[in-house]
Amino acid sequence: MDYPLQLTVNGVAVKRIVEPQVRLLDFLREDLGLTGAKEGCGTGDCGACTVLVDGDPHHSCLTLAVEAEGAAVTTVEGLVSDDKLNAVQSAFVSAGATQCGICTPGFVVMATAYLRDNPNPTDDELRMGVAGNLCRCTGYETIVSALHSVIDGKVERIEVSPEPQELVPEPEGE
Amino acid sequence: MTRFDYAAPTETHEACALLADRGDEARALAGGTDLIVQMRERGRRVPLIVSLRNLADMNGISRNGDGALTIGAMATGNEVHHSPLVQDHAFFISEGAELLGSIQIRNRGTLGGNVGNAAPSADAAPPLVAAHATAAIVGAKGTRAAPVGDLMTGPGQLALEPGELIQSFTVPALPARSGTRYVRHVPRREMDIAVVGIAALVTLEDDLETIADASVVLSAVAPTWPHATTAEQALRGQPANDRTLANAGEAAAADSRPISDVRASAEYRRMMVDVYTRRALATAIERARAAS
Repeated sequence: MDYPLQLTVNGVAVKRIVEPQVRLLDFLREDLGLTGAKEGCGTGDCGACTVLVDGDPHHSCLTLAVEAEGAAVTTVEGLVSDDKLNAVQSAFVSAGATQCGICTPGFVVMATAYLRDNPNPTDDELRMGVAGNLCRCTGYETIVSALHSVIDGKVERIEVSPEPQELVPEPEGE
Repeated sequence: MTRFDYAAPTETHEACALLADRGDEARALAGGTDLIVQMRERGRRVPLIVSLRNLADMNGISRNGDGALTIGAMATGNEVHHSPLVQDHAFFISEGAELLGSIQIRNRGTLGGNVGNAAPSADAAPPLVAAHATAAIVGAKGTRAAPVGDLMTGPGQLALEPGELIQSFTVPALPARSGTRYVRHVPRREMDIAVVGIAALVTLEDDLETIADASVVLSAVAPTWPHATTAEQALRGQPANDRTLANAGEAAAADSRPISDVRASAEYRRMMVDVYTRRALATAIERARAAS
């Protein structure tokens, strides 16, 4: 039996029929094509799949899509507003806080929620706040310094192209 | 995950009926932080998932007329951790809930799930046991109350009939001059599983120097969450000093029944029970004095 699912994703009302075993992560990536949230461990240990559900950070790998019925879901893609990256996204770019990039969307979503709720954490509190996000490249120092630049209000939001970027470039002329 | 059927009833009796009808074929889903992992990683087959998300009477945290505190089984780790009512009533329940995984886990995982999963290393359940909390259990025959300390019969095992659900927990008002502490030993600070956990509740006499009563409950060092009864006896009526705490620590170590596994040897765990029992008691005593 399949289930009707209605929810809001990045501000857009979405209506789909889903199978009950489909996780919110799979639904976002495969049904909606929002591949920002990543599957790292699939067991709630690494945080790469973090999305906001009604504003709070959740593991989309431990959430059945049907359990998000009626929820407002925000993915890393939905953090862009007025054609600008948000402060955390911008800080990650400016600080080069990315190595392989798999953990980045989860870190950005988690840190966005954490700094919204705790705008002035100590370094220790900040590190505990993102303790559920693992970077297997071990690039923690640049991540933490990027987040400190957000706390210090030193981040200029970066403009992004309003047009969706082409994922596959057109082949060059013959 | 293999396919399963899913129901999210809005009435508790419907949920109980579905679970009773399907017996071992059905499981209740609270936050899913354990169940989904078991189904995906360990191939646990569950033909029917009964979601508890729409059961309004399992939510909320409230103070009752008699001064007791009721916490819905579906209250999440973060709700319990941040609740001023919980912190004011029995601080160690908030402390235990804070240790459930990460912020993301605490937004999904529930207090009822932490008890219901029945892991010997649970962090949120032992403070409930130490505070003499009772669980309201709802089933086809109505609602019954059971001490949380009697619910767990072994790792992953609960004294619940098919179709019974934990609806809420009620924590009686703590006596005056009481202080609490939950502390665990882990190699890492977060995202780890307790090697040893100690929930301590201490009540002082009027003089604030003598221990009137004490409750010490162990995590991760026995098949369940037992009271360290010898340690509790070693505390009652004794002066609140280092010597008494040392006696209690030794007694708690003897009360524990740890196993050796990948996290620690039984011998190491027993030594840590001694150390952490003393530390938990010292903080509980400080808090009892500060609150008086």
